[in-house]
Amino acid sequence: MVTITNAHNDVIHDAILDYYGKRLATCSSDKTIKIFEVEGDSHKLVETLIGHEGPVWRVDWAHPKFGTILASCSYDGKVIIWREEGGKWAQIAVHAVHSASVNSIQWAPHEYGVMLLCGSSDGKISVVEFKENGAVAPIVFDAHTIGVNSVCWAPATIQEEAAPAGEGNVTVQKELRRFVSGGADNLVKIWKYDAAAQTYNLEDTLDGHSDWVRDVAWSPSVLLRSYIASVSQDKTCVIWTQDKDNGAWKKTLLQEDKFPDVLWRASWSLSGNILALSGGDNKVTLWKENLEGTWEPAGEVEQ
Amino acid sequence: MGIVQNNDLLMDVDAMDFVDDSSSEISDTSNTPVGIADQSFDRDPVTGEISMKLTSVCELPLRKGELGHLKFKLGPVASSNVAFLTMENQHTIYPVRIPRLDTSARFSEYIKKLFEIYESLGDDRAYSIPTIGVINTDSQNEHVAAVNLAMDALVSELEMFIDALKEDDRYLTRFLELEESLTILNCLRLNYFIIDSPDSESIRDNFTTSLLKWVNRSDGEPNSDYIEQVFQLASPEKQVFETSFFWKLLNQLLLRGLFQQAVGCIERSELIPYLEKTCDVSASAVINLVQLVNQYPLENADTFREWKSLTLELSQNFANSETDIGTELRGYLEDTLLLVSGNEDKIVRYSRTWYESFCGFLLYYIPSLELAPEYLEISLKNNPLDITNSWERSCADIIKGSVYSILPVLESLDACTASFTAALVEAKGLLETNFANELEQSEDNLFSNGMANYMLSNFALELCSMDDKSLWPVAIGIISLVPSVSTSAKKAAISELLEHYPFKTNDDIEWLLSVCAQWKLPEVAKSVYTMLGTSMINEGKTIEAMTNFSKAGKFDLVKDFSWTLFEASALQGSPLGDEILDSIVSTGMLDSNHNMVISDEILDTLVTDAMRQALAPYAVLFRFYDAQQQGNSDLALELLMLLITFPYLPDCYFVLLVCKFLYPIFLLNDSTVIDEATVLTIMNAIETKWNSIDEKSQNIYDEVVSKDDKDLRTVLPDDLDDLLKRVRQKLSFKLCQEFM
Repeated sequence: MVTITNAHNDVIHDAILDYYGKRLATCSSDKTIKIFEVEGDSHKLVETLIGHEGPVWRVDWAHPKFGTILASCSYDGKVIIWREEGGKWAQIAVHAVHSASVNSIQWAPHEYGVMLLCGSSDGKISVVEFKENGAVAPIVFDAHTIGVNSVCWAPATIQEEAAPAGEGNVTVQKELRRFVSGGADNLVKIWKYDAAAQTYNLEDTLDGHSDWVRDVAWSPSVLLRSYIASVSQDKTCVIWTQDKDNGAWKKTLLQEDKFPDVLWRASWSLSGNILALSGGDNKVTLWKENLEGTWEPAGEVEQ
Repeated sequence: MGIVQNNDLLMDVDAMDFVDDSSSEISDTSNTPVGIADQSFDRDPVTGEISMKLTSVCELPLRKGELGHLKFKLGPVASSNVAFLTMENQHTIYPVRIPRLDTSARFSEYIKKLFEIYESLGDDRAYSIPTIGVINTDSQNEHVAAVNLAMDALVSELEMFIDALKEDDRYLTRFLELEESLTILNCLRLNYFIIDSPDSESIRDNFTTSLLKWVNRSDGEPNSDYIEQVFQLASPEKQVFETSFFWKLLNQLLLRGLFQQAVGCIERSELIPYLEKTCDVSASAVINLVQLVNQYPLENADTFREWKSLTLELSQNFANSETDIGTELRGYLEDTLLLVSGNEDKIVRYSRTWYESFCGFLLYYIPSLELAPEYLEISLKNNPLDITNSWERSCADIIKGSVYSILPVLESLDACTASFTAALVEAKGLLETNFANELEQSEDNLFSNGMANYMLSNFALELCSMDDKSLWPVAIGIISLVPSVSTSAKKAAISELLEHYPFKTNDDIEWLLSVCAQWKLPEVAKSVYTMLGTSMINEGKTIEAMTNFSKAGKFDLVKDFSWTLFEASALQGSPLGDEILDSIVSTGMLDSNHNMVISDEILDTLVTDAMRQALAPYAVLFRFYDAQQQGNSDLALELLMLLITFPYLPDCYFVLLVCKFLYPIFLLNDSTVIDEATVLTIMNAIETKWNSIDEKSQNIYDEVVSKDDKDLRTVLPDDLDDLLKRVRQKLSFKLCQEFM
């Protein structure tokens, strides 16, 4: 793919490739979302989606098994779901339960169905499920005072729990549905779904930053242990690890020294073995956990 | 003996696969080859971290050091990621490839070759701790032979890969890193993969050749420029062999086992003709030295003992003889003779590096690896490690027996070579691994139980994000084959990966599903079928989509699409004209040549039981049209009644059938007679299914009325309630008509 110049008329806030890296969605303060088709080194603008009434902060592609579906969130407090069918894009749903800017969205692992996680400046998080019959079932709860900056699902996992007394099996397998949020209260919070109460309960509060948490990213791989990276206005990145699904979270500073500037984004590679950070110093740094379990640089991309 | 041509005196640098320093300029980014992204990166002068420019310098959006809100997210494919600045007047999206990512076809081939080597190891992939009485000597020997052979093959493949790169300056960084890997591997092979080979006859030859290959390929010294400089020291006043540089060079060549070059050096210097004129004893000594060097016993350990005793004898005889040459020249000659007879002091003195003296000890002192740690210690004492060369530290670690520590170094040079090397090292029993029974494993994940597993598994995962479908079978293969990992952990990893497989063709899908079948992953297969179904819908292939949804167990979707087809057909008042669909619901469609339009075989693969069931209403509707076309109104009514009384018919479609067919065709015409039972059945159905206020029923009715069908528009009232009244009236009439 080559550089896309003048992708938008105003500040760009997000750019994200789909599941196979073949489509790029971008969004901007110009209130639009653009869809580019990417093939090898070339790209083609195929659609400009208009619908938000404020800057669009984030976009996210749904799993392809649900079709070509994109979610966008905006300063206007709305989340819009867009769908492409037969080459035509249309709004298929508008989720407007927040009273302030929606800053972060992410589709759930496909195992949970068409479900979207949203974090807002109103301090609340909403999880909205779009059911096959068209019904929408949002769960909304308070998460971070001042505001939620970032949300991210944990990969879908199964947890073994002791069977209730009287039942034959020693253990039963239960879906472990969790996500992480980072907020303007400098905290990182882990939330766990309670199927019986149909709500999300706070499982852990991770206190490791001295300024706004700008982004949180849960490693997509469940093969080794749970990893969360949180980056902050305080110029640090913390790696939170949990060996067992219900064990304590261990805090590790990615590097002892502070980064030169604010860290804006953290993301994991598909296989969860590379962490990428980008920040105000105009550098993308790549990190890998070495064989001894410490984090070391695996390269950097300089602006 | 005459002077041999200049070229013959020098070691063949070209054959050693080295690149001139002069070509070490990093090429312009515009020349960056397709498939490799590491040519435009620099290293941080302080930390040594790899740093890559986002774009070419002229397009940089900000000046160096200027702060800005750079945002980046890793994409699902390593070669395709994007970065951008969240700032005013910065409206550009920059594609970013991960630094040092090699997606070239050559690398892909190399990966596949190494995997083949690993795969062909079979049970020898795992190391079994020898237990008396359980594992016999033969099987141990076979295991050793198999693993040693695999290491030979790995080294050969790496050499070939390097050969393919060496001509291309654009791959210089990669080339140098692979060369370092090769040096480490050569040392590893020398120390652990040769001398225990069951084929004892070729061990010494193999060992010595490997020793020389390791040392000489590692740095390519002495280089041709240096040799030329030494020979240029010759002047009318002083011949070259009267300078210390000549003897240092000669001894260096001997220490490195570069026998031909050493002899060539002596010949070029014209030392022998000079000595023949001045000192017979010395001339004879040098002639004997040349003979001995030419006859260095590479193959046979017994012959080495004889050779060594001859060198000792030569050295002692010369030391005890009177000569007619200068003291200085005699001293040089004595040193060389002592060096080839294995004198520790001389070996150390004339070595420029620790590995030259290490090689010297193994060539001339006692060629035994048992003494290797001792040789290393002596060598390092005199020539310490060059810490700027990562391979030197690794090779020293290998000799000390610390194989574990070289793997991270190898990994930093090339993950592929490192992973498969780790696998072989583990198969050889050189790494500590948890060999517990699968059931006893403390941790049940892909990365537990040893470094080799960790590296192989990690590498397998990396392969899946390289945007090269041909590497997926390798990735799955690696995960399948890694020893001492439980099946459930492998299954979990494969299941997690497969969902990201970028399938496009039928072959891709077949491969994907075959892996699902092999590993019993029905949920992954279902997910794949759902994705296929969704993409078919987007392409307008409803039947194929339904086939996939039904294989995915999405029966609700199959049902929904069946009713959608039913609705579309009923609204247009005729079959949909889809050959596949019509073939499914008819007993067989024949073309003009009376051949089946779509063979039964294809239909059988396309139509699942769930589809047959879900498409049953459409099949009845299809037969209804057929009966109508044939003028068989009794059969048509009978079929319509089947639909009307179908217990699972959605209410809205009841309205559709009544307004579109029953009322205009059978009720409106007073001359059409309907038997009493049928009328009563219809009345009963109306009682249970008719719902005038149902939104869907109203929408369907509006759609029918709005259709460009003049006949229907004239006979149908504006709303459903009116229609219901008219239907009731007509049914009453039919009932009376029948009664009368």
